[in-house]
Amino acid sequence: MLSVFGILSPNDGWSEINGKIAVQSVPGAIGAMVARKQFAAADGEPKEKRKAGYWGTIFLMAVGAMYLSLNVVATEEAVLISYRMSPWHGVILVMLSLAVLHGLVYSVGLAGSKEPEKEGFWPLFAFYTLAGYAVSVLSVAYLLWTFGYITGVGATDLAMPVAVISFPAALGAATSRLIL
Amino acid sequence: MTDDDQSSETQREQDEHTSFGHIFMAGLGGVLVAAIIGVFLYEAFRGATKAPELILTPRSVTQSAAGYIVQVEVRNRGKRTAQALNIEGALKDGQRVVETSSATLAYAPDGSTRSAGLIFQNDPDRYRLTLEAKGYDQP
Repeated sequence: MLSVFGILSPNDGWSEINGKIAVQSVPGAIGAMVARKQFAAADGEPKEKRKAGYWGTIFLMAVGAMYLSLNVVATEEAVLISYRMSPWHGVILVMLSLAVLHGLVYSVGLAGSKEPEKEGFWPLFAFYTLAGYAVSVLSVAYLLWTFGYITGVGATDLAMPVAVISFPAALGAATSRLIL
Repeated sequence: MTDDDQSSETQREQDEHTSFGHIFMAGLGGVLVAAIIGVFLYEAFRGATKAPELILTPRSVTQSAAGYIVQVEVRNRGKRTAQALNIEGALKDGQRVVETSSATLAYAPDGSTRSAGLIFQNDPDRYRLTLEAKGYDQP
C-alpha cells in the first residue's frame, strides 16, 4: 500500500523504508485484529465470552490508547497545538481527559471488567480511570519518543504534548471494548 | 459445589491475586497525573519572561562534499517556543564578512536543545565565526 501511494520509492534508503513499514505495521496489526473480530461476528460463529481479567483489561486499554494516539502522533499537528497552549490549558486538559475517560468507563464499561455500577465511584476511578490514564500517558510518551519529539526537551515540553495526545489516547483506552 | 459457586470462587481468587496490580496501576496513574499537573502549575507560577531566550553555540566543523558543515547547538532557555527560527552564521576577517550561511529550524521549543547545520565554502577555522538568531514565528 505504501508503494501504491508513492510513499515508498526506490530512491529511499533501507533505514527509511524499514522505518515507514515499522510505523505502519502497528495500526495494520490492530486493523487485522479488528477485522478478525468483525468477520467472526458476521459469520455467526458462537462468540467466545472470556473475561480478560484486570491485566488483560489494562493491556486492551493500552492497545486502544496506542491505536488512537498513533494516528495523532504521526502528524505534527498535535505537537504544534501543544506549543500554543499555556500551562493552565494543560491542567484543564488533564482534568477533562480524566473526566471523559471516567465517563466512558462508567457508561460503556471495559473489556473483561465487571459491571461498572457494581464497583462504586472511587474504586472504578482509581483502578480503571487512573490506570487507563497511566497506560495512555505511557503509550503516548513511548510514541513521542519513537517519533523523536521528546528528545532534548524540557519538562513542560515533555508534559504538554503528552497531555494533548493523552486526550485521544484516553478515549482509545476507554473505548477499547468497542474497538477490539 | 455448583458451577456458579466454583466460578465465583475463581473470580474471588483472581480479585485477590490482582489486588496488588489494582493498587499499583492506580498509584502509577496518580503519580503520573500529579507529575504532569505539577509541571504545569510550576510553570504557571514561575512567571518568567514569556519570550524565547536563544543561545547558539558552534559544536563541530566537518568537511564534506557540500563544503564545511558547522553543527550549531540551539538552546531555548526562554518560556516560548520559537517556530521557523532563522539562524545565520557569518565568517569574518576583522570587520569584513567573508561568507554567510543560514538555516531554519522548524521549532525550538522552550527548554529544548536543537541542532542545525550551516554550510560554508570557506574553512571556518581560518576565520572568526559569529552566530545570530535573526527571527522566528510565534506558534
